[in-house]
Amino acid sequence: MPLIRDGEIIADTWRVLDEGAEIPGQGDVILSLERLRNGAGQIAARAGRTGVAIENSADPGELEAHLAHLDLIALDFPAFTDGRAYSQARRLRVHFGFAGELRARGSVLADQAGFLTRVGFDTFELAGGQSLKVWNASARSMTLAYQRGYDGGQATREAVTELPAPA
Amino acid sequence: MAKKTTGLHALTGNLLADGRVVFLAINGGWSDSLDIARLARGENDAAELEAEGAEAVRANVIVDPYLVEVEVGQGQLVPVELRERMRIRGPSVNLEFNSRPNGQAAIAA
Amino acid sequence: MYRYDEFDATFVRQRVKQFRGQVERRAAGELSEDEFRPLRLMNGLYLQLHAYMLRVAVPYGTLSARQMRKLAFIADSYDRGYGHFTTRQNIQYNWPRLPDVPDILGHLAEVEMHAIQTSGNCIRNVTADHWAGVAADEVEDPRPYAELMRQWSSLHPEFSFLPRKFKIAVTGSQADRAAIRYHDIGLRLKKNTQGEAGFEVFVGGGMGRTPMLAARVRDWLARDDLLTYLEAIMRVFNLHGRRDNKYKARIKILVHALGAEEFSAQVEEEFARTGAPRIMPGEGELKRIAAYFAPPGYDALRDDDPALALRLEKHKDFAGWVERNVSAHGVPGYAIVNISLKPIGGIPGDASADQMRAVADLAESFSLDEIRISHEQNLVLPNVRKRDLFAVWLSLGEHGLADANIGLASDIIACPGLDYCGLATARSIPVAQDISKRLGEPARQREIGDMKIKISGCINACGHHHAGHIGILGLEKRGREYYQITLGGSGDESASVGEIIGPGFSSENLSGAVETIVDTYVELRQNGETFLEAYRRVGPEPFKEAVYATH
Repeated sequence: MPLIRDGEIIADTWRVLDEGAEIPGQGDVILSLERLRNGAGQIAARAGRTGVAIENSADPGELEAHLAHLDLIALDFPAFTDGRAYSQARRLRVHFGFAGELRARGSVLADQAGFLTRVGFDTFELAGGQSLKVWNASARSMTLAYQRGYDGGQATREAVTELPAPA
Repeated sequence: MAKKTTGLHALTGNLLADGRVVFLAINGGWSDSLDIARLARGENDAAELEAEGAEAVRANVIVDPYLVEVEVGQGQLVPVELRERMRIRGPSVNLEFNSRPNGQAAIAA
Repeated sequence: MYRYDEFDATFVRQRVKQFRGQVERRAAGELSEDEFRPLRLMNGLYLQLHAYMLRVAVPYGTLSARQMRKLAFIADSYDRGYGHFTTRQNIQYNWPRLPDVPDILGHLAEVEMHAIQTSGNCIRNVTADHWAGVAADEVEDPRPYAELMRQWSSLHPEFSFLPRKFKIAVTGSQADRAAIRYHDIGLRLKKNTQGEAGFEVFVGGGMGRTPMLAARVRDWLARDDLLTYLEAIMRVFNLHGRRDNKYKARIKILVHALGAEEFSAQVEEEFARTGAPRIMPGEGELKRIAAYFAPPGYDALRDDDPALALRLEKHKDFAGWVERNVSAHGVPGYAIVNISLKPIGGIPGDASADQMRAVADLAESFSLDEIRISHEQNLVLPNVRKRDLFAVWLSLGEHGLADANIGLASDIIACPGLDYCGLATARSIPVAQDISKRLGEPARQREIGDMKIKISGCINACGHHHAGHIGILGLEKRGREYYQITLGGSGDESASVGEIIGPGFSSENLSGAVETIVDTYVELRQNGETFLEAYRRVGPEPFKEAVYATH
């Protein structure tokens, strides 16, 4: 499945480490929460980048102690209608100040693009059969947003009133 | 206690375009009327009907097809379940409106 | 009334265009029904028993004449010439075609309306007291806050895929006309001793198969913390609400499972962390919104009108209508006119396109261009001069809208039931029609007095039966409809959940049983007690005895 960042398909340098496999010193690997907990010392010493994939029922607070060593956190959408990962993302960005890559995985539908971007996701594993074109059309379909305090490309009312009046 | 069944089924769904209630017909099309619906007796027949329904879903003609149990009552086919009888009959109220087709053009005609 | 600026107008137009694209992708097979369903629901579009149904939001129940005329135009042009006003201040069209829906939404956008989030597992149309801004007993107008919440909840990036639907209601009066304790979040606007505005916050109310009254989690929430606090509640719900069973997914179940105290503690912890970035708009934006709700240009009038007094004396029918349908206004010389959509034997909440246009004309001529929709499925002209009441009454009568039964036994709430709804187990409307014919003789229902009968066609309780003085729940057994009766429910400031009195009744016996209950009350009441007061005094026993002895 294509990996999208900033409206383009990019190469995925990350690989999900198999359960039981040795944590390598090199390369970008994504661990389970359990491996992350158990291998804290080893991970701090890695040359390669480290990420973690958590289930959407996990408490993002569990990652707080590890954030300094994490470059990526992958959050899961078991169904696109299961929106827990939106709040996990929000907590990671705002409560814990996580500045690394937030990745959306699972049932990621083009029609979620605007929502995902605004809570702080920056890469998206687009679920089967959807095109980049549809993703981008969806991502650009709403240029305005009412909610303050969220990121993403959409303008809030305050931002718009500072712009010159529309022609 | 096992529910008593007639073992006779028709396949129903709603048309994607306007949501109208239809039944898979003997001629392979979709009909408003249960009278010309293709009927299934037994599991094998029923599976065939469901396969046709799945095909119609793939072709974006039908939404949410399923089997309805039917029986012969007063000389015609009727569904067993109340909900299904209401689906065929239409609203039992608001008849001055519900005998009208939708939309202005249709009203003017 | 609130008016869209360029920002709001662009937002709604973009949303229509986005949905048009989704409908096209659905037709082309690029979206499956499973993918499309949640998207169409968030645009108000259901697939019901016989056809699609489009639910259009009337935010906090407020409409202008121009908007009402557009609703009539849509009924004529894309439907069958009528619409159904609901218990959540929405209007439903029963027969739209899927390819027409983006066009309908386009027409709505022209008059600053939409169907955004009238369905789906998201924050639904925010409702408010239908007398907001005009009620004589109001502390402060809740509409600016309702509008603020409408904007904040629209396409919320974090809270659009919740465990289940989420309903917020707000009132600014001590008398609760918005049933706030039956909502996921209920807000009561109040003022502290310094005259500052704030809210009493209730969480976890709801109807459905597990009716619950919302628990109070805050006695005082400062106005400036409103959205931040709501976000804290929503986040706790989004992360911890159950998603394994849709009947246990509402926030009421979470509040109940954790206990109100623990739930409240989790919300407070979340709230304490959500200080930055700022969620609430600044003072300027609050003032911008509030300015739209400034009182309209009322005439300076004396409160009593001599012509009215004369009319009341001469026309008994008019006097009867004024007594039931006209309520106290906060401004001298003005009155609130409640228009009943409950003609005897009619369909609760239905209005024809002609009736919608008639009400629009009256609003323009006599109500400073305002109309309200009540959660009891009636309409309101909130700004009528007392001297115009007679003319308004005459005109309403010409359109079959002058029934003098507000708050009486025939002012029945009913969901569409199995005549329209895909979820229903039994019909509601014919039951309402039956009861209304049986009890609706004018002198009889006046003699009975205040009475709320509420009917739902399934356990989801859209007809608010749990909150009915007499509640009726339609079920099905072996292909036949039968109905359970509950007594003693209330949706007002003394909210309570009705209790089931015993075995159900067939369609044939139901209205007789209701009549027996009503007769029993009339016999045992003391000193002008209402039905609810009498029930609370004597309990269910006398009613059970009477009903099950005869039916």
